[in-house]
Amino acid sequence: MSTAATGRKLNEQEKKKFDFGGWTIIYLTVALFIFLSLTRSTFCNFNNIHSILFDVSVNFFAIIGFTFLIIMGELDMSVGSMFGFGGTIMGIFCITYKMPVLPAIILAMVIAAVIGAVAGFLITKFRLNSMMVTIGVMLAVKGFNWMMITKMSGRQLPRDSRKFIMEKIGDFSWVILLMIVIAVILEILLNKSRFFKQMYYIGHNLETTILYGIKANKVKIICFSLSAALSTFGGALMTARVKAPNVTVGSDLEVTMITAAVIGGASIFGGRGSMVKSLLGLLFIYMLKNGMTAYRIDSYIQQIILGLILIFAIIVDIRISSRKA
Amino acid sequence: MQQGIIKKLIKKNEAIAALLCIFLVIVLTIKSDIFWDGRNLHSLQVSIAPTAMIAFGMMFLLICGYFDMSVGSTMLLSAIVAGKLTMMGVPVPAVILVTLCVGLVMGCINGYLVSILGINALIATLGMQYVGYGAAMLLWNEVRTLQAFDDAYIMLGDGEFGGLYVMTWVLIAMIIIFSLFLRFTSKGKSLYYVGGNKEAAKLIGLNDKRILFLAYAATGVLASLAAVFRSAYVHKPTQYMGDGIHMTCFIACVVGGGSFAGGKGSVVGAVLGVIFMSLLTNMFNLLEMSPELQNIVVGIILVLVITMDGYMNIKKLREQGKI
Repeated sequence: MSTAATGRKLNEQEKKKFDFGGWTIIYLTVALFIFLSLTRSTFCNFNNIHSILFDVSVNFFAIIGFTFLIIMGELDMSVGSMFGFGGTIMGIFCITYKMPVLPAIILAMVIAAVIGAVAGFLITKFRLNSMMVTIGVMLAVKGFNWMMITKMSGRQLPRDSRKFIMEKIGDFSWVILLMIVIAVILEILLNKSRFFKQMYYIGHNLETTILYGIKANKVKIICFSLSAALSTFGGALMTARVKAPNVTVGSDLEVTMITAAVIGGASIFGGRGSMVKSLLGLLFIYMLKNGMTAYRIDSYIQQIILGLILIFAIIVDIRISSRKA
Repeated sequence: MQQGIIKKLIKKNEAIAALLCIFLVIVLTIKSDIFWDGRNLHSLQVSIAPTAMIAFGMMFLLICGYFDMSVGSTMLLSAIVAGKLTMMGVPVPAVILVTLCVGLVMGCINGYLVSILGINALIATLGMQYVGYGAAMLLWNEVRTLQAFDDAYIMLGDGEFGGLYVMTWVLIAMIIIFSLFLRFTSKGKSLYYVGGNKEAAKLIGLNDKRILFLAYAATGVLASLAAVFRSAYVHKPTQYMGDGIHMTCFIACVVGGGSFAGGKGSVVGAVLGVIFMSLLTNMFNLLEMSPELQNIVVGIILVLVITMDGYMNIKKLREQGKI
């Protein structure tokens, strides 16, 4: 009875929080889209939009687990290197061992899930700072990626293990459609399902949720594991797209992820976040990158701008959170 | 009695760091013929001195319970600004002064973001790392053609005095000054108070925000100073300066007794941690292990060190009965 009551009460609070400033990211995305379509003739054609959507959809797999974790107040900095890890493992199995592509990807996801679970276990068991631990994981996995990719020395994936990425349903790549379906399903689950709503409670107030019998540590470990596995999946798709395992796949992805999630309304203090809005945040960033390239803005200036956007988004996040408190 | 001393020593993190260093030295002496070679020792000095300077700043922050991930790009930006100024024909003292100001500005921005605005230290400084790197790379194209710094500037890196590099002497002076600063001055001690218990520190009238801000500013300046010495040693700014140094310094500080929880750490510990990391890199080079492997090892060490730190903190909290 009391659990149900608390649950309902929290849910109302959540709803209020979602209403506040919740539409900002949609306005921003639409405004940017209109601006770029009007000023750049090359922007609003099908191929360009499709390629932006494809980039977003591949990276979207990495932001799923990331959003769950940020809702619970944890950050996973290893998404980028896990993303590259997918490509590396796929390269090892497909090139060196001549394995078909599907088992290779599944194997990569399983390995990544184990690594993620270990990190999650350490973080929850010893109450460690999740960012620092995952940075450690990031360094180790990145080193592994470099080592393996140097060994493979630029060999391409076999043709039949990379053609699956080109499959299309109608006019769109299947990855984009999969992304939309998953995003909608997860958004509904986050708002309706008991298991997923737990995450908001954990992010809001860890002690209380534990008192109410929610196994917070278990949920966190599952999500760390999920985050690693799904990033690996996205990375494998990306690698199939660029044809060969590459060190640049997934580099600096973690910063993009934090920025996307935070301009999508998630809070780094936990308790807020939404799957569709994270997706929109990602779309906004990739549209911005595309637009900046169309305007021939130097890639280093692009980097500065993205860094500034991140800091600005966090400042807004802090303002919102302190006003709430 | 003797057991008591050993137990006390083991409880000191500095002792653990020293033991790790001794262990590595023994391994290197056995495994490599050229470890004690003069050139190798020189290269060790050059890798230890600038890193340790940054580690001091990082240690101040860790004592407060914070850290700075942007030191790498502060270093890069400083070195490139120094190169730019040299190309413009600015005299050497002015070059050094302006370069240090670059670090001061970066440090103040970090301090403002973290301590005044209250942004999560990791995100703010990572963001600044990006901004700094982007800015440095914009300038880099103009500095690329610089052949060498002025001779007087290069003396800072190449100059030797009594068998040790100038930067090593500066480092030794810094160890003494900062140790005394942390132990005997009220400013230095206030770092520990802020890190140990922020609320209590506020109650006794310490301005925790200002102390943290100053610590960030100091870290920035120290990173620039390290960049001056380091770039003087290689004679011109390079694109790869400061790459990954934030992780090296951070791990070094935690190995040397700093803690995430704050309130702990010493200058000697930071130096020992840096020596440990430098010996580790040296070992990889001398034993010809692949540089990628180094990344893996550093990552694993980071996870181990943080896990140990977390375990100790939990144990301490249990002893105090807070859990």
